[in-house]
Amino acid sequence: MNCPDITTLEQAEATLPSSVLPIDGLRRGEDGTLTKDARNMIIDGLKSRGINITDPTIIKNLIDELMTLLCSVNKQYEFLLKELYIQVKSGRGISDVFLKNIHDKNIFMLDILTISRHITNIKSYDDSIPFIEGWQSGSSGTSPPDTSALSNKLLKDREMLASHSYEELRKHTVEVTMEKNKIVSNYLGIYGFLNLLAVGLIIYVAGTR
Amino acid sequence: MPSAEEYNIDLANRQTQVNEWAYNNKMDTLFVFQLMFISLLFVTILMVLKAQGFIAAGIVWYVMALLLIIVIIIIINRSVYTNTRRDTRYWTRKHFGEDNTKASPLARGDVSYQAYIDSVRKAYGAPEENAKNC
Repeated sequence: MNCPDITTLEQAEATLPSSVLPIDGLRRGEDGTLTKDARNMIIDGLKSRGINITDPTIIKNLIDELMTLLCSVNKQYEFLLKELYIQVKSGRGISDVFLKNIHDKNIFMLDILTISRHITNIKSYDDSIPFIEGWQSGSSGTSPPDTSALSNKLLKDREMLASHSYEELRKHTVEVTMEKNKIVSNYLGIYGFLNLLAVGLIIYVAGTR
Repeated sequence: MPSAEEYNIDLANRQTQVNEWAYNNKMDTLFVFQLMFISLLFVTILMVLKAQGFIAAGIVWYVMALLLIIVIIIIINRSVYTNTRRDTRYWTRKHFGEDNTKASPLARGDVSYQAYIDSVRKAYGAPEENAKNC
């Protein structure tokens, strides 16, 4: 999935428009996922705009649109997490507004996943799940790309953001810096060896003239 | 007495600082190694050319001496900078003398970023105002 790269904090914090998901005002369960009535409300909204969500072609288009949106939001989210990582690493205080932004992006991604799953599982008039070209067979009830891992990751991230402890992130920061050290140590070893080779070469050339 | 969580946070932050400093120090050493490698290869090429009779021995000695001086100056410069000017905690922070008085007030942390920006705007005008005046 191709979507534009995020290079600035402004781009990462921008709200992305969606023709499927309303901006605000949806009811959620305790875990942050959309409730059944909220999901139905979104589907009703689509229906009221004359979108036939039992038509496989339309479902495919909707899913494609949602996946493109997910890709863009994911890039924003990754950028914000990197920024959070930098702030945690520097030991500075992290503003609540910034944390809320990350949390909102997390929830938005969860909404996209929930709705895309819901749309692919909607049964048509004959009580069958429509076959969507490009996806796995609709009869198996599968959803677009494996999203359970992403959902779990989002849940873990939300717990981290809610706890304000960032212990995992700090641990990860230490691990990353250790890894960087290992890599550069390897380079030092390689260049040390290459330097020895170069000295040997000089001695060889000087000796053979 | 710090709590266990505070202790862990401090420990992780300090460990990150130490690792970052070590990483940058190694990168600096790597730079010197690369410089030496390029110089040695260059000298090798010159020596081969001399052996083939394309250039005179004097040129090789002259270039070797020049390269040696440049490499030594770079190594000494970096070593002195790291040992005297560089902050022992943050690799990118520089010390400006005894009391650090030559650093900007922003770098010293005497004023907040916003206060600094406000003072600059007061002195030179905000970008929007300047655009209007143009």
